Amino acid sequence: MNTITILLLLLGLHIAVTERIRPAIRSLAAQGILLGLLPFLAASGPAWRAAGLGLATVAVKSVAIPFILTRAVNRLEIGQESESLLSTKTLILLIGALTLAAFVACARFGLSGQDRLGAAAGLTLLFSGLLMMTTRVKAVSQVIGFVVLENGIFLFGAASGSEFTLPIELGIFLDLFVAVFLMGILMFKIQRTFTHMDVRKIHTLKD
Amino acid sequence: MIPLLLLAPVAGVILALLSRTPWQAALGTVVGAAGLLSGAVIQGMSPRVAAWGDLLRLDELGSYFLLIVAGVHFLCSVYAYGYFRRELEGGHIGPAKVRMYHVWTNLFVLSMVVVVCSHHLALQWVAVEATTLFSAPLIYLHGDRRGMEAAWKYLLICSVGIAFAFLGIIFLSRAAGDVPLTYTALPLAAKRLDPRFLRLAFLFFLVGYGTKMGLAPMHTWLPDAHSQAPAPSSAMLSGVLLNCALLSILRIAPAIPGAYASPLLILFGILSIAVPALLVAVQRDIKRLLAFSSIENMGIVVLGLGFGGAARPAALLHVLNHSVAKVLLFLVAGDLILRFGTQKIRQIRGILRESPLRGVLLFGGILAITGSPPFGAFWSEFGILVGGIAGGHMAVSLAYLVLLAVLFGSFLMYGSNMVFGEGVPRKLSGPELWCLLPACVLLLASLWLGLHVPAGLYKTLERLSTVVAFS
Repeated sequence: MNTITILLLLLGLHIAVTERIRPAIRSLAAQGILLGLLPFLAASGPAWRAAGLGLATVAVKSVAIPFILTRAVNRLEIGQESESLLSTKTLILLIGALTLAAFVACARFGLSGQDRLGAAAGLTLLFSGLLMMTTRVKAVSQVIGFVVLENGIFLFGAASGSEFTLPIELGIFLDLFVAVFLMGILMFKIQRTFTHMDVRKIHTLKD
Repeated sequence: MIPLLLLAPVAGVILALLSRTPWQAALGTVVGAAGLLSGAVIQGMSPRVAAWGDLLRLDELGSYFLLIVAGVHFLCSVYAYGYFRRELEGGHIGPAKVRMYHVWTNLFVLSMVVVVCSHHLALQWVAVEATTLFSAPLIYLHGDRRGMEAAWKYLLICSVGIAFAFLGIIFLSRAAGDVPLTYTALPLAAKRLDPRFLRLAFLFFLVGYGTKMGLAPMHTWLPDAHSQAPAPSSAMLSGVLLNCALLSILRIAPAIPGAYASPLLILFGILSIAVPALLVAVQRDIKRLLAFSSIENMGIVVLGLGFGGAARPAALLHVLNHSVAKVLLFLVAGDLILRFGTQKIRQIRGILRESPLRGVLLFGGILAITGSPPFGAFWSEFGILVGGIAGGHMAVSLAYLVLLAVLFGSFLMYGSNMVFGEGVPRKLSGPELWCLLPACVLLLASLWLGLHVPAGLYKTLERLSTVVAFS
């Protein structure tokens, strides 16, 4: 569990800091596989339940979503660079501060040992996903940020031991998949009408 | 009963998919909506709680919200027939897109029915997220730049908001331990739950679902999304979707200590009234104007819930009053936008002289939404003020009164310019039955709720207000 958590955290940092889109998508897929292992490590519940959840996680997070994102990158012929409003140095500093804040928050809430590491790593991923969504200029990077945020919440939930019935868990995956799918479709449409994918330039609606 | 309620919108989806012409698709939606409405009325009159398994359960509070969803959906589906016929004639939209409108609208309604029928709070979360996903295609139905920008913002911001609500559910399950996360089990066990995690859960519910509800300062997506959707969809988004997000917050309220929740609700409430009060005065687009008024009205409801006491039933009544008046306004605005060919307020002028019925509907709607007597919203806004003063929140109540007066002034100015103002004479064709009939029904409903609050309704709301009271 601890190894997986630390690997997830490192992959998350790579996604948040890297300037290249394709490696970021690969790291995202790797995160999906690691998250798919989590249900098997949880002690509770029958084996078929863990298998169902693990398979659903891998199918959605490391196959379907990376596929949609890669296709978007290929078809939209967007450059490899994923521009950010912040420099890499600032990003690393900010994420370091957020990691620290996450650990402090989890300690203050009396989570202990393994729980604390998982929960704090989950919060860190959540923060860095949010940071990506707000500071990246390309639509694809914003979607990647959203998936990192979701992964963070997933890890946080797994660490704090929350479980729901299987239909609900599958519903959660379905929602995530449809959300990314719709964002993918919208990216194509935005590309066609605006002829660019720079979110900075999309602001005709304002007060 | 619940399987039948779910079946009605599913039937609408199937009929829309099978349809060959836009007319058939519209008929399918109307049939599905009529089915849903009759089911909701039958369930509303029966004293028994409907349940289907552990996950779905429809109590009196859910029934109240379901009736609003079903009523608005029915009127909007009738309106949509007339609206899209005109859009098709004008060549603004193709038949394939009209069919997609009906498919997505029925799916959207289906997800809202699941929201109000959810017994398990995590299922409710899944359904609220589904409402975002099914309504996003409606926002970019026309496929223009503004629609896409609005849909992109809507998907991204609401998905983040809803992710925060999910964090709230994780905190709640941490607090609950082995207590099931259902709205019947949690309040009973409230005393045994870990208060720290319970508070965090409420905070994240409020921020997460509050984003979906359009509470300031998380409201930034709302004016864009609600102004870019086609008129019947705008009406549904403002008139019922916001209520569904509110219901999701109400469901955990009984497990939360009031001393913690009330100040938060009052803060978000007054902020959500203040932001529109400042921004409404500079609006140029009629639908954005109405969208800002939705933020304000959700603020009023949340403020009333925060005040507690006598303000709580008034807040629940305001949910209904807002839906009636806001749907009315969006439907009339959609008709006017098609007639005048613009959404700009300054170019819509002199309605009364050209078409008295539309003038009466628009001006009546504006009076209704600002809470002027003799319309229903007057009583609910007044009840919230009384509750605030009785609860000892003098300063906030005063601010609430001043902000409402400012909003009333702005809306009256826009309304009188559009209805009575002199403009370029423009020939408006005769009344379009399918578009104006639902609006007339809503104006009469608002008037009826104002002239005489039905005794049965008031008793029900008093009962419901104890259901949503904080512990």
